[in-house]
Amino acid sequence: MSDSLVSVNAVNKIYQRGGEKLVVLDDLNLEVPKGDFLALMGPSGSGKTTLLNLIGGLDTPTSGSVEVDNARLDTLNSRALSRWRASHVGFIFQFYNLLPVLTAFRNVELPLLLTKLSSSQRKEHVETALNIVSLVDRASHKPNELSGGQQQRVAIARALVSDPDILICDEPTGDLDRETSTEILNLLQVLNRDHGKTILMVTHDPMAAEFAKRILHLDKGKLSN
Amino acid sequence: MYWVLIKAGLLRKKIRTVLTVLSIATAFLLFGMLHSMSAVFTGQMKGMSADIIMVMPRYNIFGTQPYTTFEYVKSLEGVEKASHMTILTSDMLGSMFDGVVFAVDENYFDVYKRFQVTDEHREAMRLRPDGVLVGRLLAEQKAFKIGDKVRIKSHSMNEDGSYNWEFEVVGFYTVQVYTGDEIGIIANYKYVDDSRVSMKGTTSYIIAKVLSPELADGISTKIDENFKNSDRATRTGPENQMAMEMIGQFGDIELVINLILSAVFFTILLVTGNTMSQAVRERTADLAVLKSIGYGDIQLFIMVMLESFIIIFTGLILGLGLTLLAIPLIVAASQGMAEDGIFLSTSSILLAFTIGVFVSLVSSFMPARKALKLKVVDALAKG
Repeated sequence: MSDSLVSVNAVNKIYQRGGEKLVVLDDLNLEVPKGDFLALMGPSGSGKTTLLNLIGGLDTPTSGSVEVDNARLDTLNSRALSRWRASHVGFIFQFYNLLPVLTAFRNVELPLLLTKLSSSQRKEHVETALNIVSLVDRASHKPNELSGGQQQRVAIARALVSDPDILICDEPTGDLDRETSTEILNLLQVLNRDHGKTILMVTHDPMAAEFAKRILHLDKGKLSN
Repeated sequence: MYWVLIKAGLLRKKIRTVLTVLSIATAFLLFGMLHSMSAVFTGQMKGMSADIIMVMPRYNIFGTQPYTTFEYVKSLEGVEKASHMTILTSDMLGSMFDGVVFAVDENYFDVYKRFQVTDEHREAMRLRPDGVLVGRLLAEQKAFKIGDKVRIKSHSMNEDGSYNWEFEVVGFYTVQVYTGDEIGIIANYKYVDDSRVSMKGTTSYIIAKVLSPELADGISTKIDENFKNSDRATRTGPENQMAMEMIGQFGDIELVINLILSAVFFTILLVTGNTMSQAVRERTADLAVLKSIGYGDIQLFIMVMLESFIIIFTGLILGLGLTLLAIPLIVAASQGMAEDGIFLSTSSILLAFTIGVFVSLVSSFMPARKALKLKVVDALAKG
């Protein structure tokens, strides 16, 4: 059994486009220890997001194995993957993807609706998550009443609220200005350092990558330091 | 869990949701109204007895038949009592709200128990040949009182050579259950027949009470068979069936109702199906996010189905509720004629709910399946 939290072994991901085979990940290996903050960089189409999706249990490899916290994701069916995602991983997307008609509180509460927590317990968890991202006072606001940075912080609180092992961030600052990006990246650092979250972040931005403990480059489906 | 998400889905495009609900409510209002009134058209009126048969002229419901037909019917085995009525008013349809005058024999109230009169008024009519009994509803509307004169124009010529007839009000009658029949005036057949110079010895309809409802069909067939291929051919059947045939003269009402209802429900299917498809298409990213945070395929499938159920059943309850509110207004506007003919039956409500379930399932299945099959990776890539 590996000591790594994430273990990607000899993974290939191949898409069939018409008669053509498109190799996105090519015999890729990756180990991510618990508590790591890894930035994945690379040109568009290099397979960064695909790799993140495999580790997050959103997609399955064509061949090879993906093991996260001793669970073989490549062997789980769709239902088991959903359950696994609900308790082990939090996603942060470039465009926040909050539900527009729900308040910040309700958006953060969404993952907890899948649990057996009582209403008061859910409230406690949501307030804790909003407190971590310093948005308790905006709990009753809807996404369109919040700035981009605030919306991303709500999304981070939603990713955190079920206390997952890993945070998967796909271009989390891609839609933000420099100052707000720095705030978000500082927040991710705090989550990694003070809350022990393992973070995998895809970014095009070298400055954003500097906030990570490690940077890996992906090109044509292969990793390099 | 579902309620938070369903509410979010419904409120995402509030105006569209409201308009969809309103269009469904309109459809179910139409359904409710047509079904309420179909009782009038399909002879389901409460109070019509299964042991009363009516004998009408076969080829012209406003025509006449000889008195001997009445005597034949009366003599048949299984017929307990018989009576007859003759329409005197020339413009029957035009007189619907002014009161059609019909002349009956002395047995009428004994055969036709729905029609009721006090002994005193019945006796007054027997004593005065040109005396008439006015229906309670008509009497209230026209403020008729005993001693008033009733003047009508008839298709039957009077002894004085005119078509004008005059009667005197000697009493009133009531009708149990279907009060629309209270818009009428009952005259003495003997007086009318003696006074007219044409069509003497004829009557419009024959009414017979049979010993038991099971005998009604057999006796009806026997009567029709007896006069088959003659110039006095009859059309005989239970009262409610004959009432329906009379209305059928204006067209196949039931077919028209069914065609309208089919169009209505096809429209609901399209409206709801389109709304749900649009809703799911617009929420592709939301659904992908929900899947990414752990919501299962089946959970999202159920969520979309429930959303459609809520839209359709809100419209359904609203539509049927409006129907129930509208019925008393229509009854009031009909001046009481529709009092017992218009009602929303339990079976109609159950049918509406069955249709609601069916339409919900059919209209939401494809959008729900789309949500079920949605690939998170592809949906997020499309943004």
